[in-house]
Amino acid sequence: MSTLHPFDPYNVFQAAAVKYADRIALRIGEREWSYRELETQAAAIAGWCERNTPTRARIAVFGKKELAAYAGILGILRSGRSYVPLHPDHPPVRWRSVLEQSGSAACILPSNVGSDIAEELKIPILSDWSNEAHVPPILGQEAYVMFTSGSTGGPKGVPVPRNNVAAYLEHMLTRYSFIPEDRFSQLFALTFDLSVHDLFVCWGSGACLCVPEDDSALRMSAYVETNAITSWFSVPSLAALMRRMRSLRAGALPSLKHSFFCGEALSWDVANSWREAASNSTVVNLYGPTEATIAITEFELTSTDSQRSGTVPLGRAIGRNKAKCIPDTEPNEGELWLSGPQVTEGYLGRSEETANAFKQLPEGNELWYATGDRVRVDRDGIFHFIGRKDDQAKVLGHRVEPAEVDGLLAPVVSPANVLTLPFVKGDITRLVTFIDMELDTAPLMEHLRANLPAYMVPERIVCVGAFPTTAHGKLDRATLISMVVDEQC
Amino acid sequence: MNSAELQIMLQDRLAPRMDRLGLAKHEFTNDLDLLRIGILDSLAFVDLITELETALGMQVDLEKAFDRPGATTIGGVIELFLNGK
Repeated sequence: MSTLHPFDPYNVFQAAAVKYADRIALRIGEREWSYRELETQAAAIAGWCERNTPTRARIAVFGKKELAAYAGILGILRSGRSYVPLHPDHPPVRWRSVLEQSGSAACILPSNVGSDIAEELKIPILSDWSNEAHVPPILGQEAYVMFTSGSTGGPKGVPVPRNNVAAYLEHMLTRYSFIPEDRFSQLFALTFDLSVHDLFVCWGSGACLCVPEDDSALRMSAYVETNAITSWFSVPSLAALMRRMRSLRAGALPSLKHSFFCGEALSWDVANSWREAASNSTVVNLYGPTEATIAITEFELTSTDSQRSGTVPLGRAIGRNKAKCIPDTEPNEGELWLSGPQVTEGYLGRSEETANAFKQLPEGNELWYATGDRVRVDRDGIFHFIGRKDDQAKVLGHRVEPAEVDGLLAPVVSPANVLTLPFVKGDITRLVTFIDMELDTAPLMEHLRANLPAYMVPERIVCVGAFPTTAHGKLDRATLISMVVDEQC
Repeated sequence: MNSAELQIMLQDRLAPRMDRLGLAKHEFTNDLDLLRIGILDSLAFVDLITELETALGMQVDLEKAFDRPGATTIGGVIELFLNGK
């Protein structure tokens, strides 16, 4: 029988709603909602879910930067159900795949969304809950299903139990000194599990979640200043972009008290620039695959390590989680394995991929997640990121399996003739697809745009006469990348 | 450098991306929003601005520039370099 974890995501929100009912919980642009108002919305949505969907059903939330999305997530969790985020900017074929795989029973949709989208989703829709009867909170098991890039068969879903989220929140809300006067950034898309940190670390602190109406990466300094943000959370690429825009001048971000980065490697260069700009802020590098719930290791930068180069360490496992290096070439280098209360149990409907990634060690019966990340562990037990065991790339923090991109071109180009690779320019990772034949690339780009989220679409498709090879006859990826890195536009 | 010269410079730099999207030359007008049409994303837009800064030997105030409407249109970029010193 389930019991309520004190740091259960809905529970921490509700506790804040009782204690800080009239404080502002959510700010989108210049519109604001108090904890009391947000809880009222959630209670009505939960009522509809309880009356119209099976117990513990999965329910999709379609939207971004709208009250419906935030109240929808809270309402679904209040009803003991699990939410499945859909991004309005992703192609409809992606929504269909997510809805089918998750078996979502219904969808919460903002009322201003066109009827064509409601028809496209082909499941019961809730857009107006103003007259719905409220229900009290209902205990649930699963918090959400997040979808990440899969090397075969499109996106793969990771169901995340509520207790996993609770384990993360327990660490964050006890380790860091957040207060109700704090103002949290909300920059991650709701389809990205790092958004769960934004929402529930904020609401668990009784603080205000500040959602930029215009989330253009080009206006981040103004967003921090206008909203007096105190707790920042983003991918390092955003900080790198701000640095390129010369926004990270010394003392430029004085309101920040906490700065968290996650989703991709954080370079010391960018981290040090950030520390100069946010001189009143702690800076913490978080690491965690979706399978290990939001973030599972942390490294807090200290004043003594400002001279370092390369990338900031991943740090150590948080809370009661464990991290282990499974050595390969060197005694202290190898694949990072993770275990503990934040590690999930596998993928939705993919038993083979689950068996390949979720394993037991001979000496115990704990479940370990084999991350595919290669790490080095130093004498102090701190983990350092080295690279990937496979071709997986991170673009703006999003995991991308290049094979998923290549596979979409299969009807036109055989897998042997196409290769998508990540490349880094100005501290920011992008994708480029190479084809070893001459083709009209415009229709191919159109096809990729129609089937993939924007972050998975390569910056360009480059036709080369033949793939270059090294002296040993292997594919020469470095030469291919050099073809695009130095080009203008 | 005047407005017409800047427009030609931009057109030359963006021609490969316009071609890849199947956009014709006559569509390259001052109203064309580079981000909205998908010619550039935010990252590539900053790349473009910093490359133009290098080429023209000047620095613009990027933060202020993006606060005004139309900043990411062709006309907006031209105005940035004409008035953004």
